[in-house]
Amino acid sequence: MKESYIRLIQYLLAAVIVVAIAFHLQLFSSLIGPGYIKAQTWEEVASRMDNPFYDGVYAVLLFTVLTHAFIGVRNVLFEFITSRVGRVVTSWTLFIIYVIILLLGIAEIVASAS
Amino acid sequence: MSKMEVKNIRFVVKRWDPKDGRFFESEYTVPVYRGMTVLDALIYIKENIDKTLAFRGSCRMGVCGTCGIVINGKPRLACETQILHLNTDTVYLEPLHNLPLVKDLIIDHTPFFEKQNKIKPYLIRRDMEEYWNPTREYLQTPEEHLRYMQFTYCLTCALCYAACPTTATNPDFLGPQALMNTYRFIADSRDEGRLERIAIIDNPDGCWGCHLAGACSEVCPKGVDPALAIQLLRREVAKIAFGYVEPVEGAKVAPSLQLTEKRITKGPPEFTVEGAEEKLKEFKIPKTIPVEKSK
Repeated sequence: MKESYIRLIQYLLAAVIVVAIAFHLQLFSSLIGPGYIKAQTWEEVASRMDNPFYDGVYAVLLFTVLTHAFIGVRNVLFEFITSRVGRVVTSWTLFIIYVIILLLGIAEIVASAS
Repeated sequence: MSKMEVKNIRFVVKRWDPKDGRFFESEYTVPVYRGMTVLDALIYIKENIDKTLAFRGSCRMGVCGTCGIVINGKPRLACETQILHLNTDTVYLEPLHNLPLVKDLIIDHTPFFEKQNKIKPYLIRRDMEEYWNPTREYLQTPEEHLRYMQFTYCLTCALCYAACPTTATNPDFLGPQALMNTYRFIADSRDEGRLERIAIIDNPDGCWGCHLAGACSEVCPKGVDPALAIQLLRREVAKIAFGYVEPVEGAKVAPSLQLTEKRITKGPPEFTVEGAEEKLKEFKIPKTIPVEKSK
């Protein structure tokens, strides 16, 4: 994959994360105006796991954050690893770890829904 | 302070001995007058105090970019830096960072120019016949020229390269000058090598390696903004990544001399450049040039 695609994906996901954080802060901390009027109970939060819409949102958030983070870690490691072979090995190692964590996370979302 | 008044300033020079490969410091006291530059002081030291001190300098007017050194922690041109403007009693001089040393304050520019050569710092054209046997200049509007004009002021003094924190940690990083020069040619309407150059810089050691520290733009003695060029370069790369590729046909060659003669002899010009005739109509050119009467 071209470097520009990787970087643009990271920038795009960063924007998504910023919007998600702003949305979250607005809902629960009333960042701009009044958010939720009453406090959320644990049961209410847990019950969302049965809602397919929330499962989808959690999966998207997991994908967004993990992808952004792993590209970021790769960029940082590339500062220190300058050899071509080293960079290929680093990229593949990170990709494998990324896929494992992503699958574990999605499995967790699916398990909590059932 | 008048020109004749003299103030003694202490110079501490961080030197490098190529024989045993170690750094050492030498201290000198130089009588400084108003307007005296760091290069003048180095010449004074060389002529009057220590003949072994090695440094480089040439034009003495900020044009050649040879005398770049680190003055009080900041890369500057020695010939453009007035000592009294530093407002200090001690001036600390070092060779430029991120480049191999030759002796004392002299650095080897080879890696710097090698990186510049990587990005093909010349016009790339497809019409090779015209390229090698030019008949006339390529046409370019003032607006097209303005797109890259500031980037042509670069002296290749390597101050930006010495100031860049990414270059300090990653020796394979192309560096601000080479990346800025890439944009300079990509933005040039006469150039047709955009895709070729972007293929060279679209990697972690190219435009994506920049952390946007902005140190390059801060130290440039000519006011060039390499950090801006790198961001504009990223935009160009992003455009191509999104499939937005502008036609790469370069500027056309100016009409031949025969046509110019025709214009003179046979009245209205015959324009070959698309839209040029309409553009010319926008200008209200008087038929006779008014001559100011002498009083």
